[in-house]
Amino acid sequence: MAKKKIKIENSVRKLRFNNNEMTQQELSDLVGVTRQTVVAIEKYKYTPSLELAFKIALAFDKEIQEVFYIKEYS
Amino acid sequence: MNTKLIGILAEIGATSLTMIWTWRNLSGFSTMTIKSISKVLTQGIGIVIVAVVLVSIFVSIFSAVQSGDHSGAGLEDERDRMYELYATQLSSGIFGLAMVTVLILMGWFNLSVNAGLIAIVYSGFTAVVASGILKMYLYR
Repeated sequence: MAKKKIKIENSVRKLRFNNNEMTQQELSDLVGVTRQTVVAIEKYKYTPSLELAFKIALAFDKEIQEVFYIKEYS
Repeated sequence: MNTKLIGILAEIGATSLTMIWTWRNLSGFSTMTIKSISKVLTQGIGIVIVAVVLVSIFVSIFSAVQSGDHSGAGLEDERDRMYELYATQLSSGIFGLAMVTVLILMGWFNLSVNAGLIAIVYSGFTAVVASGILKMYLYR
């Protein structure tokens, strides 16, 4: 079976602004990572672990698939 | 540029400078005794270790002062640990490959013990620099 590639994107930035314009620092404090990690996640430079992804989704009171989704699938 | 990148840059710089310093002291390695070569290499390794420890201490202090967080928490998270793992894998690969290559060269192609010893230590320095470059690429 051929190896499939996926590109995971997220709507963290949009959700932050929809949540009383939450700052990156506030989100990072909520989920227990550094602000640089939140920056990297928002720029799609880093895909978080499942645990962190769930924590971020919980911080916005959303389901994980509403925050993280597959953009490309080949 | 954030404190992590400054720390990595300082680490690469210190290692590169030590490589140059060591090389300058080993210019006539083929005529040097194994004892004198070992002395220079040990000093070089010591300098790198001390430099890396000092850099990490200064970066931690600078980072704490900058963020105002003196608890020590939040300095490292899963992303840092993952990047550190990638860097360790790369440096172990480089060092292991160099070690085997040097042993093959010594065993089958009559590479001198002096040159072999220097090559092994230099592969260690190169591994440190390569892992630093990889970390800089990942943190870009």
